[in-house]
Amino acid sequence: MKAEEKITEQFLQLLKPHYQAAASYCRGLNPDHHDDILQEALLKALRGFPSLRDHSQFKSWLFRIITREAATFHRRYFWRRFLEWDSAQWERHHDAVAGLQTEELYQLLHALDHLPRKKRETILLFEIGGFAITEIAAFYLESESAVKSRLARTKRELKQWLIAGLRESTKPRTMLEMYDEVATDFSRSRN
Amino acid sequence: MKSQQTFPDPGISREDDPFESLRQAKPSRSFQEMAHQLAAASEAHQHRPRTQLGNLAMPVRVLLSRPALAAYAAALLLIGACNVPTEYSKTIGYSMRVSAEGNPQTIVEKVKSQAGEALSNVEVTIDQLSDGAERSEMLFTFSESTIDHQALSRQVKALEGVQLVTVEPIDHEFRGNLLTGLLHKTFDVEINITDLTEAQVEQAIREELESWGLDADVTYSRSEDEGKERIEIKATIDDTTAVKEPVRIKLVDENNPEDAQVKKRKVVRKKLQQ
Repeated sequence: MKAEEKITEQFLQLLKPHYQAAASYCRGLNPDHHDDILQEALLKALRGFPSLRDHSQFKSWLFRIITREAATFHRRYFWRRFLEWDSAQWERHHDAVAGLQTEELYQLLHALDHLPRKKRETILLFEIGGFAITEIAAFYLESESAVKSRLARTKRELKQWLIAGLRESTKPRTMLEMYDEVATDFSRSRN
Repeated sequence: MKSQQTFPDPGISREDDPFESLRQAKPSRSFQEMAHQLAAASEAHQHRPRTQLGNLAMPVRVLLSRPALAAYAAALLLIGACNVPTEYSKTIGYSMRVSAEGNPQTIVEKVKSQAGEALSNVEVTIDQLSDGAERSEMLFTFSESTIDHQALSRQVKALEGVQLVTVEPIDHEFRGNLLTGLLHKTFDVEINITDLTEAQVEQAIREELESWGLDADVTYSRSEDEGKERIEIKATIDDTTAVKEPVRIKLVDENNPEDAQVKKRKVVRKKLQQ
């Protein structure tokens, strides 16, 4: 077996337990182009894998690459907005977005879309990546308290967007959802 | 229950964790599929040809992924282009030399009618040959580089008695910056000559040029040439002046609407004798 093949195999072995989380993280960061971002990030990770000395850091290293790739993709998307899409492309895009998800996932992605990039990354690293606050702080070279307060703010914002999304949803609401709506209206009327 | 704990604050009422749907979302490609594609891509990457173009593509990719940096780089390039001095050569007209036998009048008329205002000067030399025949040499100068000199020379060649037609471009060296070199921007000076005598026009041109920091020797003459008014301006500008672009003078005569078509003359910039 060649050295390169050995490296690829080793990389894939380390990737396997984190693949689902990585894919979900990409989807949360960019629901429209998550697959492209994931593939591009994994390719970069594979090329840079020989430089990773401590394999115990694989997960945080991989998520760092994905985060950077999503940011690059977002910036590159700036130029694409000047290109006109043809109708076929729009249809494919629409199908890709509409067909992938359940109502709950749609609501969550819609709510996440309202968050600034850094907040979205932080909450996804915490909830999907399963990173501890210490790890996220190291990720952004910030203090733990800064990450904690950002997470708390993000959760509050996300809740509001989720509730707003549920109100607009055409899906029949559960008793609990309706109960919460009444609670929201009640608290608003008191303010 | 979770919903009871959050009441009466607005909160997520679902009993489930809202992120659970995202955690459980099936990836577009299975791990096996992705692993296979990664292995293939890695193999292809190792055997890819390394080209010079590939090295050039890197900075382009960097700029494309950073719009702010691209805008900053473009602004820097533009500022640089405005400040880097350069010399450039441009064709400002053509000279056409025609050798013919007999009376040159027909040829001159033909060229005048075709070239119109682009014809800035005509010099005719008539030689009397020993056998009594006449041979003329004509030198036409066209002040516009846009004139279709090839079509004109073909038409002149077809005239009776024409023996030789040669066309040469008149090139001029300009000094400016990269941007003016690219755009070949001209410096336009507009002067109203309504009700002015020749001497006053001369003075007006001189003063207008001076107001722009251009120290110039100006001579202006107006003459009737076969019923058509002919205006000639000669201006020599010190090459060390602040304005480096080619100067174009426009004269406007409000009393003469037909002739009020703006007269444009490029002023040839010449270095003054030390």
